[in-house]
Amino acid sequence: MQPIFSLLIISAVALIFGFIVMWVSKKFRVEGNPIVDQINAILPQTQCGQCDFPGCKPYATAIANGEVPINQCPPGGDEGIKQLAELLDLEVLELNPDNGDEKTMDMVVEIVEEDCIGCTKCIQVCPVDAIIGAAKQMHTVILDACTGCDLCIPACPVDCIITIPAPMPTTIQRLNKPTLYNYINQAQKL
Amino acid sequence: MREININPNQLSSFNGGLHLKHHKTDTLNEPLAIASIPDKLYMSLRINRGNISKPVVSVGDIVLKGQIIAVPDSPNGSYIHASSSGIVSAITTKQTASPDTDFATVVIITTDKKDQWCQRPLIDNIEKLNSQDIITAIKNAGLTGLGGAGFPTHLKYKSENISTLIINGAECEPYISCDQQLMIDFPQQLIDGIFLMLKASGAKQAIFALEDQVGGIKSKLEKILAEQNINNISIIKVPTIYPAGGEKQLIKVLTGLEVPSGGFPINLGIIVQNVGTIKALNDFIKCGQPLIDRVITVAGDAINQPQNFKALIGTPISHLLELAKYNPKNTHKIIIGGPMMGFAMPHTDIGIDKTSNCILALSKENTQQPADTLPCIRCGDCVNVCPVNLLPQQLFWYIKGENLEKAREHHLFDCIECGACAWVCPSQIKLVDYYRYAKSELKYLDFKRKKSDLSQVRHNLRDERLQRLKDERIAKRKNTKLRTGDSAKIKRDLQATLDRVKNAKSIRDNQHE
Repeated sequence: MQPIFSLLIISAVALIFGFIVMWVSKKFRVEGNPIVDQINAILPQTQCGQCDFPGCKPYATAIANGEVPINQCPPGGDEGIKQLAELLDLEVLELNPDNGDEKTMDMVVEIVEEDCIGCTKCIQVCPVDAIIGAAKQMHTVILDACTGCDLCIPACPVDCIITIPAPMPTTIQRLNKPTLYNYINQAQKL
Repeated sequence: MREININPNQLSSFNGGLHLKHHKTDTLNEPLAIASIPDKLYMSLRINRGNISKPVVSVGDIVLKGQIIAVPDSPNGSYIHASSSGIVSAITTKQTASPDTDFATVVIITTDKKDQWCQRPLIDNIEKLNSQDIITAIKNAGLTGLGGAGFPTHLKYKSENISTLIINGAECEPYISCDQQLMIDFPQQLIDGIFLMLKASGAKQAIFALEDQVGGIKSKLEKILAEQNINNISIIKVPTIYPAGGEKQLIKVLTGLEVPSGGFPINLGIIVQNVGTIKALNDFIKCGQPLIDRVITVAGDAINQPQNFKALIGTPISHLLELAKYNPKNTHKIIIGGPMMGFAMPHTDIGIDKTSNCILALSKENTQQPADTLPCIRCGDCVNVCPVNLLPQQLFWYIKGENLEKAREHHLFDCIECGACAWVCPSQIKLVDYYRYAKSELKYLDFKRKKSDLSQVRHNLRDERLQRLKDERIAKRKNTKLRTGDSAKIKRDLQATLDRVKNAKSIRDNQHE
């Protein structure tokens, strides 16, 4: 009699906890995959498409699903790959040269306004709405919003979009990293 | 408001610090000299780290002494006045005497040596000025902290809860004696200036902090205080330990309180002002002279006549070096600022700015050779001297390994870049260079992060817009379909139209025939 009794009690307890777990999983359900957002937060949001995906979020989703390696984002560069590897507990990879090279300097684009014919083609491809203008009116780039993805350059029929160094607030002055140990550098030279 | 009581017999102390040779007597043996007007003035429009004012003069303009040549374009900026009269000969981007000798807009004035003043704003009733009037005057005078960081002074007087004003006369770096010279030559102006500052801040007491190695100044100031029956200004000598002149260290020594990490003295109800700033305010209120000159020390072992000069802001370094009879052959390195925190200048065609307190010309024997850096042995000497209780060797470790976020977590941004750690390092590692590199890189990364967040928002908004337009298009199409939903009717209508056209055509054809 006793074993049956304890079995009943255990089953009843399990049932109760089962309901609680069910309720909790419904109540605190997370919409979407949270890891996608974490990956997306590391990606540089240039929306340039160099990773062969139409934007940063699709690439983040693909990484989260394990479909593609983490070394396809040139704007994120080695630093970005390092952060992704750390987040996902993966091996640090070299940047895939097929996707492009990491730029040494932050660039944005500018429209040579004398040459612009007002075709609105660049406006349509800009992923962050950083170009303003209307049909047959001169266009211009909002430099602070431009991510330097260069998607507008091939779209321009008169080649009037050029790249320029990105404007920086005057409070930001990048310094060079000091050379580590002079004697090592000297030894390497010898 | 917190009451701050200071007992001069029971001062506190900060961690570590260094006992350095002063090297100050050479310059103080000579009286204060007035530097002559140079042929050209290089007026840098960079105020402190970052903020650049906007020029309001153009090339060819005639400017008068004291005329505003640049206005701030952000609240952190400050006015810049022409130091002497002349013609604006160029406005270019040049290296300046700021940290890292950054490039900034420089207005070059070719002086006419007449030193002609513009209309000076004279104030009649100095007694009747209220706090707001004085703060406005501080802003109009273009006052920035003359001690080193060049923080615009008017920004310090925003808070209402100020109980104590500390006058920083503790000049802790070797060689620099400009503040000491100022206190010797202008004690009365300083006391008057302190009164104005007290009025502006609403503080009840002022504490004049001096280093204990200075002689004679304390008694001189106390005599003036006794004669005029002033009892809310007290003069306190602090031990001469580098960097006791840093504002946070000075507060710790005087009050035993620590400024919170990332905070300012204002969080404790304290304002710290350099003596030079006090004198500059007094000059503006009493004589209408904005901040266009300062006392600057010219010293070093390549200088034959080390001396303090009262020089116009913008005076080229070369002009001051010539006045101090320097030996160009012997000069190996020219530094603006002291030997601990100063910056080497690439050439001498750079104008001094509001924060330049010293020009050092050092010979080769007296300059540290950078060739003998060795690996860090983690001896911990730097920890013992760090005045802000950081772990310099750990920060170095993280920065070397590009682990900058970790360095931030270890309070990298509390580093005051005093150089004490690098001074004691047995491996001669240039630690401060690493910290400055990491700070600049972190600021840059923060900026990029902010920009990428903005891009994400803009991209999402664009996606939403495109989706909305698409939805609207689909809805519209659906609507049209609904209106003309009956396919049999459409077919009938179409047939009818076609028939009508056919009819019309045949009629027209018949008519032609």
